[in-house]
Amino acid sequence: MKPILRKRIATFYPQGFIDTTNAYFIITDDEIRKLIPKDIRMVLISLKRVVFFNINGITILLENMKKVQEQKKSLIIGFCDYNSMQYETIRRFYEKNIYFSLYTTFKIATLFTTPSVAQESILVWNENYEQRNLQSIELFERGYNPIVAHRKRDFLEHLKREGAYDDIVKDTYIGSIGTVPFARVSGSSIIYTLTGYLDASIDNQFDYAYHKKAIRTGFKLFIFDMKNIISMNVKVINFFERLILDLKEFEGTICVVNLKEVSTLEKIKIELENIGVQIFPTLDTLLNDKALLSDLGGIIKEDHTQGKTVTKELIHHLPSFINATVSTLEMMLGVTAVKAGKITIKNLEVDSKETQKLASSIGFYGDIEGIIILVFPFALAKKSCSMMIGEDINNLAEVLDSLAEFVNVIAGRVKTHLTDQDLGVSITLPRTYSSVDELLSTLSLNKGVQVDLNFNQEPFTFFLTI
Amino acid sequence: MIFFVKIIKVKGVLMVNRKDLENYIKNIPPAPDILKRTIEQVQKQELKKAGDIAKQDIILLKYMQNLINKPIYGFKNKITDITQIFTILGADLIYELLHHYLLSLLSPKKWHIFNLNESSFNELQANLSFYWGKVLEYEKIKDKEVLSAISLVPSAIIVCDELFQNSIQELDILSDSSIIDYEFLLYRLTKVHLKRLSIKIGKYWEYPKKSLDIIEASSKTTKITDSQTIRLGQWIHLILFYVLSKPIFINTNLNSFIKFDIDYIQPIYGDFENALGEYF
Repeated sequence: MKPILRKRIATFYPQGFIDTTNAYFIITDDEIRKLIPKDIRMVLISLKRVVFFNINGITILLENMKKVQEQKKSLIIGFCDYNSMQYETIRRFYEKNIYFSLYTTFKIATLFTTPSVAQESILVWNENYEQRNLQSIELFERGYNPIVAHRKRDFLEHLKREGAYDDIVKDTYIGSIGTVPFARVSGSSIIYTLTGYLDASIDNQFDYAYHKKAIRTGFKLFIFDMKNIISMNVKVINFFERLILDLKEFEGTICVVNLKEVSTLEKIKIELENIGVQIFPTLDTLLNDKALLSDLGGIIKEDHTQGKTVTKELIHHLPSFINATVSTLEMMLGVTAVKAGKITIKNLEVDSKETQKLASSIGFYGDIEGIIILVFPFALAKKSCSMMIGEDINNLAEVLDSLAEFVNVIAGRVKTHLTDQDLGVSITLPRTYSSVDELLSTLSLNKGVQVDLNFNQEPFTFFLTI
Repeated sequence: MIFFVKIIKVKGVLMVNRKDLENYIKNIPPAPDILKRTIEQVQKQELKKAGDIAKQDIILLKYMQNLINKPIYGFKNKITDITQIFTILGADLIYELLHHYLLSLLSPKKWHIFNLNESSFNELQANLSFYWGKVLEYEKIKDKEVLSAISLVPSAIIVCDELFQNSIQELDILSDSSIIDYEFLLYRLTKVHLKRLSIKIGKYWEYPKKSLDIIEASSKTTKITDSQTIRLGQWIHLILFYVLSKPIFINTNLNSFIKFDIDYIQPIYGDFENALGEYF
């Protein structure tokens, strides 16, 4: 089937039914070959005239779109022109592993590929705040004026204002933010949630490169939540044995929680304990016991890059990092960043005597490697995070939690910038610190590029190192 | 869609005009005498007599043998004897198939716009006929005047291929940046709806009124008010796109020849799986 090329988007318009029998014929190898040399930013399948699809049909289409993406790294793939039911169905098919994008209409997709002509007002709503913020930042960067609704009721209120918005972005999803879908961070520990039946195939489900980078970024406690595991066989013992070995020199700990109390798993449970895996009945038992948590997840020093300094290549891509950070903050705070002082290569220098400062770090690895560190005054962090979530945040724990998400959004955008330049990177989960001292004692930081900025007189520090 | 008109005007030549359309209609051949006589006998339930008349037309004979032995009909042994074909299938289905044959006489020797040939066109007819039969079974309708309606559906495809065959280059340019909806294109150029052309052909070939009304109802219309006819029209619309979604037809260019109106088929879509049963 021939795609339509408009606004740097190649769109296929199948009609009727999509299933295993016909999906291969919608995007043929011949069409894939023809698309590769074209100047396109997206390949989409329009579902406007599709009355039926199943997961196999959709998966085949995605696999074929991925073949184009493999040759054009920054290419976005996905679907457009769907109704609410189709949107929910696709999201249900792939649950948390949506690596592609979803745009309610072709016109909405074009907002993410073409610059604004007249600063059009775009109302943005998504239940997931990371998504709604990412979408609004993407729009902001293209010159649109995004208005983010942070609650469903606010969105419905906005809708009543007829003609107030040029477009409405809802039921839209931007894929490949860059996080590992099965992992999340809690304090200084990483929680992995695995699903299905665990056997030797666990190696395919688990991202070792990500895990190793997380260890090097300073994480020490890794919790495997087994609540979604139907069953497992003895092959998982080898998997955990390998993880324990990797962690040995870093004095880290592997814990397993929510393991089903069934007789078939009893032997595996004993084996796991024998190799050093700590088992707890529930996640809460572990997370709520602060003393135990502290024992299991003490602070370790990063030492893999001792003595190294930022590379030329990293400096070459510095504008990508700065732009992603600054535009995200400008968008959230509604103020322009003002540079304070020169950009220099030095050890991180932050004056935190007078005001409480929070910090956050996130690592990236792949074609280039490094760590981004952001240092915020408490008030600025609180304001940014409140804007992102759409609710007032008051206590430190809430700010730190949201800050992690905030940095994640920035890192996701850096990843997109780098992909545009044909650099493939993955990012680790963000880590937050309640003080600069905690940051410095956790990470043995090398010299890096420091950029000091002011947002409405509030100082902010960006630091990029390896 | 404004884009279509712009391009057509810039080039200064209309791809198709009203006169082309009138000439085309004028040149439609009359139904062959043998076929007419066969249909008359089928209407009287005289299947043996009908078979004897049909035998005199070797092309009709071959067509029926070829169609009925397509895998979709699921006969284990090849059926070649025309009388046997008529007896096995019964008057209603034979009546419908004779109309498919009539339509096939209109199909071009060489297709230009759609990647079809004689065999794939027959496959299309067989598929439409088969699924239409399933739907009518589900709807408990045994009426040959209703059955024959489906045979008129491919006439729109034939007409498009004939009328636009000299505009391949223009269509190719258009198809880079817009979905080609031939129905819309034809209407913009001639102010005639594609289905009206099918109805005109049907009238010329003396299709029963019921069939023509169902074709009228195969897309949104205000001309038909009878709820059963509208429902059957909706079924035709859905079956057409179900068949065009099959692998064999995806890259024939047929998938986009008219616009699939999902809203229009909503009232019957819930019954589709039940109607087709194991064939869905």
